[in-house]
Amino acid sequence: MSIQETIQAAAAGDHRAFAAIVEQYRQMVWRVALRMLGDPDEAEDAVQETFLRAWKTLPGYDRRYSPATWLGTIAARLCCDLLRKRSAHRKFEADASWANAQERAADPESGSIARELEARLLRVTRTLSPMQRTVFILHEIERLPFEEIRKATGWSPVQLKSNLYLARQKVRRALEKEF
Amino acid sequence: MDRYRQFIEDMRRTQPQMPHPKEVSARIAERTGAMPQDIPAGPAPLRSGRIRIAAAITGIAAAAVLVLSLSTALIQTDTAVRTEISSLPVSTSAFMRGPQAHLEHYRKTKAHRQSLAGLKDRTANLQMHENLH
Repeated sequence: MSIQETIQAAAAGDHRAFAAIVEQYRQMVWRVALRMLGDPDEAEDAVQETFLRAWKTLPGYDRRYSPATWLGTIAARLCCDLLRKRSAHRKFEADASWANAQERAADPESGSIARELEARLLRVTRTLSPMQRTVFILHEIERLPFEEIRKATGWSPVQLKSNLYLARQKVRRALEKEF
Repeated sequence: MDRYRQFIEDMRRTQPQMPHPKEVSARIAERTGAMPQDIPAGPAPLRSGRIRIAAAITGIAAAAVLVLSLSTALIQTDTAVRTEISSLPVSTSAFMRGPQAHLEHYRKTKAHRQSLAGLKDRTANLQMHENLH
């Protein structure tokens, strides 16, 4: 069964089909949420919320988008809302909780490399706005098509392009400052 | 390759893994009813049999308390009406039918009594004034 057929079955109320979608995309959704929020526990909550929203909006799923873009955009928008709600003094200081989470992971060695990289990502994306962070993570890191992100988010091409440009500039500057 | 490109490539290559994927799937399944293949079907922790029984007992107890309090209130009202009616003379109340009619008759009789008492007082006052003069 193709993924489109699985989505169609899930939209018709097939719970097993929806469970298969969750299995296939939960890691990708979690990665987006983690990189948006910088906190593995919050990211897990965001994964749950993302799939709940997906379940509710399944009948309206647009086949033109890939499931990755559809779910990634739901997750990113949810994380944007969470980021806006966060108090201004709270910064991305999730290294400790990320470290704890990876210690519990099955492969501690790969976990430590991932931890280091994720911590670096958090450092260099610290100054990005929620919108810049969304487009940077979805397009630049997850390689989701620009046009699909635009349609799924409803943002204008100008908004997306300018935010991506600014995000790249800020990350470049932050990387240069590292050394 | 510049530093930025290198960083992006590293990020793309590294795919961190969710620490508790099965638990997250189970929580999603609990809220949507979509049970994944690798999670055994069964009652979710928060909806165990014991909790269901406890909820049912609480509901029954609350309903019983409500019924009891309503019954008590009804009995009290009924007793008050009966007490009022019982104060009426047997000869008049015997002609009435139903508690509402009893009450109506009682109120009218009471009003007549009060008006009669007022008339008696006024007569006594007039008599007293006449005696004085």
